[in-house]
Amino acid sequence: MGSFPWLTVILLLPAAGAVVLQLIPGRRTDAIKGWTVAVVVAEAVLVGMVVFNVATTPAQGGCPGGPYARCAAIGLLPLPMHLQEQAPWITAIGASYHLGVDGVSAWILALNAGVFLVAALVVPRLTTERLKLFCGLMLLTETATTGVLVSLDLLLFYLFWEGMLIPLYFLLAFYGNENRGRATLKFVIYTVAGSLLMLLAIIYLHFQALNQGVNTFDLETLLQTPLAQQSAVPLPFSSVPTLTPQMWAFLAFAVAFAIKLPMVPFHTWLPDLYESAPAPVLVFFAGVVSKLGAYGFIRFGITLFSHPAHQLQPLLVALAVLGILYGAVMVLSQTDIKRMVAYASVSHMSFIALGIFSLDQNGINGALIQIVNHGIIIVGLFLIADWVEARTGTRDIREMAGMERRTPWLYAMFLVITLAALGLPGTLGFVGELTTMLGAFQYFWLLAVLAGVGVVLASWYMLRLHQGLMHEAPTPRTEKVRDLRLREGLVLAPLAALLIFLGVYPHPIGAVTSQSVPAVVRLADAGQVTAHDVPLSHTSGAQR
Amino acid sequence: MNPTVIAGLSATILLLPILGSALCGFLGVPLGRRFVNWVGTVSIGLAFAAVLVLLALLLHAPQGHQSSTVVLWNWLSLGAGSNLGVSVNVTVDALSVWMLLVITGVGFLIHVYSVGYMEHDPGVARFFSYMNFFIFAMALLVLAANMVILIIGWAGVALASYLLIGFWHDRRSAAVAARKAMITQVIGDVALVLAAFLIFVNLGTAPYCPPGAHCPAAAGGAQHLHTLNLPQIFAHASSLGPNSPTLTIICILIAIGAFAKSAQFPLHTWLPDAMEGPTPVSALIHAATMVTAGVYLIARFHPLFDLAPVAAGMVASVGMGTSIMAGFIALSQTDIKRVIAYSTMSQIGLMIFAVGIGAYAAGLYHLMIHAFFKALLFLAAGNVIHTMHDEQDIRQMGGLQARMRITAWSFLVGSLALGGFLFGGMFSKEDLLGFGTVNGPAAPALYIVGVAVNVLTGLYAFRLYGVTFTGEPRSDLARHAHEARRVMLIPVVILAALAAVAGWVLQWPVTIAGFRPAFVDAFLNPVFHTAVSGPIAHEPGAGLAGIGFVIGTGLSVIGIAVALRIWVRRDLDAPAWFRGPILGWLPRLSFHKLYIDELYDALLVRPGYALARVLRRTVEPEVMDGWVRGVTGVATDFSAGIRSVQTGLIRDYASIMVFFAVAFTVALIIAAGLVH
Amino acid sequence: MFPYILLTAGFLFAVGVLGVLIRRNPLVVFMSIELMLNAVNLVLVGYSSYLNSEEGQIFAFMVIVVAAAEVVVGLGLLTRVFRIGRELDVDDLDEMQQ
Repeated sequence: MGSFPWLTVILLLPAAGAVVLQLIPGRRTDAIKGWTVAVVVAEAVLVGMVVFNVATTPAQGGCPGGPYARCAAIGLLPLPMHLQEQAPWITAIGASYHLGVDGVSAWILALNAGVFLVAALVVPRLTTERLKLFCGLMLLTETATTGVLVSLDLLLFYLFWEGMLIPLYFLLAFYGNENRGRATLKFVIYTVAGSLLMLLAIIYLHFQALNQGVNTFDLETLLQTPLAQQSAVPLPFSSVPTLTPQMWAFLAFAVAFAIKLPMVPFHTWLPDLYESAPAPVLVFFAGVVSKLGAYGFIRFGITLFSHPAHQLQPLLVALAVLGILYGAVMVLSQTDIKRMVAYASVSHMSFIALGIFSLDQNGINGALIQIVNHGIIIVGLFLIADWVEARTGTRDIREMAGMERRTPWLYAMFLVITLAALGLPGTLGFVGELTTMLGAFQYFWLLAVLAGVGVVLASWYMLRLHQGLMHEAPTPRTEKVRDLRLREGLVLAPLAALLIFLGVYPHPIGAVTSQSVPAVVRLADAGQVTAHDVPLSHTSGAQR
Repeated sequence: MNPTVIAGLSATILLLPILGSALCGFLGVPLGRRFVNWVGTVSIGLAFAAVLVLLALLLHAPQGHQSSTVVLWNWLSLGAGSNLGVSVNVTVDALSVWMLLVITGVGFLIHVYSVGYMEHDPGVARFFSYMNFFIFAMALLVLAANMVILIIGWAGVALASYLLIGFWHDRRSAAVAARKAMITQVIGDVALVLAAFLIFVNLGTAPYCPPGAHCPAAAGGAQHLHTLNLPQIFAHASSLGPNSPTLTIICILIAIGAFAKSAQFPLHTWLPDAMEGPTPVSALIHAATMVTAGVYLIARFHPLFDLAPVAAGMVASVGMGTSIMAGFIALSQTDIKRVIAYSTMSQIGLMIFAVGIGAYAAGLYHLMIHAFFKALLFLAAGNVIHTMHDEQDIRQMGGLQARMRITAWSFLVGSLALGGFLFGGMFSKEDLLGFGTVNGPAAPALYIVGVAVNVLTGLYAFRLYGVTFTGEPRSDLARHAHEARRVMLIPVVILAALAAVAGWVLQWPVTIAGFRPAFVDAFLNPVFHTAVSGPIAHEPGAGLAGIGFVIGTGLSVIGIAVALRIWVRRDLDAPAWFRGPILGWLPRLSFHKLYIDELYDALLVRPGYALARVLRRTVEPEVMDGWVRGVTGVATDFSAGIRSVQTGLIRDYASIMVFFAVAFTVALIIAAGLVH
Repeated sequence: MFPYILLTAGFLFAVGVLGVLIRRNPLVVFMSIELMLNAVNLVLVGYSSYLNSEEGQIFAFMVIVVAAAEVVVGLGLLTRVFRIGRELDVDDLDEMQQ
């Protein structure tokens, strides 16, 4: 695609759109909406071009000629990128403006653009100034999430990761229902706590590299810099050893990502927030923001810290499986449809975590598929929950029944999404769960069996949700509901169609991701050592 | 056989129903009932024609070329290395064509019947859309030559079943039954997926060259992918060696999938409840085709089961156990469809038994014959239910013979075929039971159970016939019953003719010595004889088969005769000696279906919800939120202490700042002085 | 020369501190803060000429910019407070504490 800075364009386009938005008078709501949609459509088109480019061209470059033993040992450049842009940023501390896209990030970028497109289409009817603010904040969030996905410099990544919280905070705190204050506070405290730990770990990595004579925050350079072996950190004022610095650093990253994902037991902010947030915010929040935790694990967690990741693998997969089962059982005890969806989301996100921590090519591919699958499903489910609430005035599943008679189209689209959510073969959900569970199975068979129990539970709660709304005789609240409006149908139909199409023909997924996942897996495998090989360092990868 | 022709025909068979489904689903409501009726039936009729062409091609194919596998498109490829690479393959051989004949042939008749049965239902478009989708999924299931694609078809039929059981949305019982069926099917799906994983890990790691492809000597790249193609799996099966534990576990997992689909113990409880769906659905999905998919599955995976005799023996035992259990329960049910449902479960148990002991052709032979007479019984029962205005309780019927003559005669033919006298079942059932004399675990123990099932079958078949059609009408509805419309009668009559004739034709010439279906054997056995290692079932000797046939049929006749003696033109209660205190528990046990539903409710459903409640009330607020609150609590306490300093007065803040700045500076100076 | 600059700056800074601590009118408090900033600027520029380096002057400019920004925000706040009809007394403005 030449030397044109495509990545910078897709990064800054939404923010520029937000700036231009301020020039539109607040009372012209149609113009505001139209402009917002135009910006996200343009962004989606550009991202589409980038993804197409990634799917059709081989990755660029090779090991960039450095004196790095690690790169040579692996015999491959750390992360083969399809598009890269690099410029100096804060040279004094070695931070650079380094953007790059490979199969992993391109795949989630596509989800990102799509999800914001949907969110822009379902922006609620608000009073004038509030609408402008809403659209502006939404576009800023898109720039931040895009930045997280394309940054290859840890400091830049951290900037976007934290910057994302600012527009999100205002969106969550200004809009939404009466419980939003407490829920937003809980979420912000959780994420900021996690992020600060991650910042410490980033600084630690920087100084480790500095000790090797490399002044950098760059991911690729850090991946090629063998970190010195270090002994375990003692407890304060004593000589009792705890964990090695690398392990602490990994844990700091892991907590930040696990909170965003969220993994049990870091999930309790999620149901409250999902219950109180407005639907368009939920669309991109549940649709893509929470997936960035998974992306962080794949891009930074298991590659920079392959050794700690391998050491903690049993714990991590156990937490993932616990999350699958815990979330699933929790759904069964809920009566609020939004909380049901929220806990179902906990269960599904744990599938993603399971795929990643299998540290296996099939598993990580599965996690990527599952990211997009769940992104589509959760967007659909929250939109449906929102529209149902708007029509019936309640979110209590016990007060609803028999809507199918009056809403055949809603029934059909809800059904497709339900089936994908329970992983029915022939939908994208099956592709994701099959590959995820396969990865888990290759690590330890029992994980796949327990995940299978989660699938059975998923069929239980998803059908309970779908049948609860649609079947049996209508209640007073549902007697007069109306079917989807054309506009609503046109938003849902592509989602449902995509779930089926990619379930029947998932080949394009492999075309995008399969070039980049092996590199990630190779980096993660570098930390694989035998049990008695105690010293913790990246250099152990060179022995392979 | 020309691969292009095979691919085209297979694609046609798959496309026609899915196209019909889409047309009915999207255009059915605006274009009306007539459009739906035509599209829904013609699509299946044309698919049946395509299957007949396939059959002709197959019969004329030269020896050794009677199987053809073609790739339709690449499904998913996760990159080089030891990774998943799946393509959509179809296999056309005697086994898949045999199944397709049943699916599209019987399916077509049932679709035609549905035109009449659903004539007053407002949801007819949805109905035909689902039914056509079912045919598509079932065709995909039997054509698939790849385990993942097979699982897609496998789940597709479950989806169709779910949608059609819950077809009448306003019924609570239908919704519950549909959900129960779906969850059971998902259990089976998960078992199959786990089996696929085990196969993925243990079979097919070696370079593989698909038949007909040009493979370079140093096979690399795509050839190393785990394709999960069935031919590849079977080719590598023997590498694990006979009796390997891995293979046994794989086979048990496959069998669990088959049990869920074919309603075998302990995953059988959904099938009787599935009778909540419209009667044509019961005929097509829950009698003739979908529930027999488990039999097909085990037959398809015969190279694995041949090498895992322990698993195969388990399959045979479960099949026979389910058969006698279902036969026993069928004796006392009062819902006409539930009786037939339990009889289906029992008959499928026999088929599962047959494939479990390696008598694959015999099992599939009974599968086809059973499809004829069981579809017939259901459709005839549908005529009864239709004229009885959806009343299904046989205690409200009686004396219908005089009021609906053709239906009654057809039902009698079906009951005889089921009971195993003169028609259909007499041939196929005795054939598969004959294998039981010399094959299977602890032979002939299961054979003896099998002939006991014969007695039960005769009993419940003619109890049903006697109570429903003979005697005096026991309600006004029964008194005013009348014969069904022609569109509903013709399929019934055709099926009756098939049930009556098929056994005689397929087995002609009939001789006591060598009582074997020559045509069926010749057609199907090539599929099963090409196994890598083929310890296929031993054929019983001519004398043994003859004796077995006489004993089996004799016991069937005894069952029928006893049933006629008890129930024809008499009351419908259990005989007197089963009402006393000594044997009175037997009918109760039978009526309550051995209390298995209650057991599952107490063991699985209630604990599930109880656990969910405990998690919501205790674990989530106390543990999951609790640890976070513990951490934040420390911070809160700390900040509470600090808080008293925060007076809100700028002057105070400034004073504190100045104080500490001065103190710090002084300390610095003192420290510097100390250093020097 | 240089010690006198430091002494002057120290004197100015002390005046500023006392002003912040003693006066109640926020405008005067602001002026006192500006005084402290300028004292620091004086030190920076003084050291700059003493060490023959331009870095001190650069920092002084930064401080001026920051001070200007701070005045803008602060005066904006004060105008708001004045608009809602409050008397301008720093000791009365302690609602944020509650």
